[in-house]
Amino acid sequence: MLPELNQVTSLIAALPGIGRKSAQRIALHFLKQDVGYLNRFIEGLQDFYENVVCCETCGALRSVREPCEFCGPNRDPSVLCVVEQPSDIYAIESSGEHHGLYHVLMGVLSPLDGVGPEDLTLRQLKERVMQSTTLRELIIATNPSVEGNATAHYIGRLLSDKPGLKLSRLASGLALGSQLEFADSQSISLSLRARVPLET
Amino acid sequence: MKSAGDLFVRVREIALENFRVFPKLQLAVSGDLVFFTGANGSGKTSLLEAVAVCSMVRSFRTVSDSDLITWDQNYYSVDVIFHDGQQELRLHAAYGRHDTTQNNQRRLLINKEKVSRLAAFIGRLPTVIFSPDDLEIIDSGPGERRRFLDILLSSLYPAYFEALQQYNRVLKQRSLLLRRGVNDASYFAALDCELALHGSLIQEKRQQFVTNYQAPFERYVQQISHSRDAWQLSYRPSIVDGGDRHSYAAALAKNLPHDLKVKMTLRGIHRDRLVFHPPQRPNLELQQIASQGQKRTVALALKMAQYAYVKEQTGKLPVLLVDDVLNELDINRRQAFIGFLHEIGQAIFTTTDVAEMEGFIKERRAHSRVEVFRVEKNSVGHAEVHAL
Repeated sequence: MLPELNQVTSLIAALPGIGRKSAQRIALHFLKQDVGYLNRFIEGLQDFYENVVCCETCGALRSVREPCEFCGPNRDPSVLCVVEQPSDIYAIESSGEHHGLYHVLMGVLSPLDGVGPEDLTLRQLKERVMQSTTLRELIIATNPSVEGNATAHYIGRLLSDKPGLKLSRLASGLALGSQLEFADSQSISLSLRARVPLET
Repeated sequence: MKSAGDLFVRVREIALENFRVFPKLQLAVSGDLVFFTGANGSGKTSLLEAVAVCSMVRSFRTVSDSDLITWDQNYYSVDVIFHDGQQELRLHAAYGRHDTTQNNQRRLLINKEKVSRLAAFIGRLPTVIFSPDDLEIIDSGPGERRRFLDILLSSLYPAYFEALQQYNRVLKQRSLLLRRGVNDASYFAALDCELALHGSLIQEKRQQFVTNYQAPFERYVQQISHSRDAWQLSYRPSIVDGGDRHSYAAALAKNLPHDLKVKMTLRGIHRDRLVFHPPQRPNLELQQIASQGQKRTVALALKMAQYAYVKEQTGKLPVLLVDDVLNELDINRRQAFIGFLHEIGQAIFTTTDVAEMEGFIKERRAHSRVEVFRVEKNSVGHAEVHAL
């Protein structure tokens, strides 16, 4: 392979979710474009890289040119949702159900990956919660993995001394529109244990 | 006893690619009693292993999947078509890679549809294996008996298998913290919540199992030994009352200072014990007091009771896989085993010598379809199978 093509392909293949074949296709696609496109692409990336930062308060992504959209006065300060990654915020937002604040942990507790409590934004979370006079409920929205669950337990203990704070965890269970027959046993067993009264 | 309501599970076809000594094989099976006969090393046990791989996603002999791949090849695949008494199912289990730049991957299909969770595949084809290694369940350390329990319960309850996988992952996380000497009680408490969640479920299932297993086990021990022997099975969980999530977590918390000292998690389902002992004498262990022959009786009874248990739990007659066991049995145990064969559905045997089964085969021909295959190595060392 051409060394130039090889180099670009390797760079693209290092991106998440892209294999070598797709990477080569993308590389060759660039070659077919005019130089204007390429410059816009490079500038766009550069602007993105330089001007997107994490909010100092909640950890969400924000532009350096504007205040954080998730910390603004139009958000409900009585509910705080704790997530693993900034990208999780977009998933929650797309539901349109949560109008409160966020807190990004920047990971989950996992000794196997060398992540301990001091590597997450737990200290900041505790400070935020303790100083708040408006907070009523904390929703822990870490993933329902072994690590996500352990992190949720950890947060629960960390904040147990805040009077009047309701702690909740996202429900796990059957996916909407799924069929019982094909659901995995653990989801079924979780949804049985966390079953809810029938609303009539 | 075989009751009219039990569903008869029958293997209909075995197809292999690059599996042990078989580069390619497609074998239609129609018998209820199937014999693979051939010299040692001809590949007859590989055929049983192939069925086991589709049943348990692992062989009963080796621990490593790459050992099952034909030498010089990159992958193996096994297809088993079977009728479970209600419908025909096609299971496909493959492992390996297309070329050496890739990592080995597992691929599981049910009726050509991809299955991403092991738990959804394991146990679809119910089998019970009798192999010369069964004696180790009795004679080796407590780990072998836990493994026996875990494999059996995983095949019956997918939730057990998944709980076990997650338990092992949290346990690994915890061990790492202990080894590093992290002394953070809330960190441990968080992990222990998860350990307790999965551990208590596993403990509850194990307890249930041992309770229900007792009667058939004792019955078979009596039957095999003509009432000369009597043994009981006890479950000794490392956490008393650990079937409850909260007492499980409390026990872990209580033991944490000690765990930190020795840098190991000393309590939990990974330390549970399954003990065979004389009736009413729970402090005497079989391993220390039983003769070789008595141990063999217990190993045989354990497997027969497994068959009875799986049958009771699933309403199906599992496929019995018998690897060269007959030669090892003395006359009493062989008689008991042959008597047991009247209670079962399809059985697949390997044996170096069909002649010694002749009496039995003759007797059974009247009642069920007997099929004998000869497994032979050809000049290139690959195995071939001929119907006799």
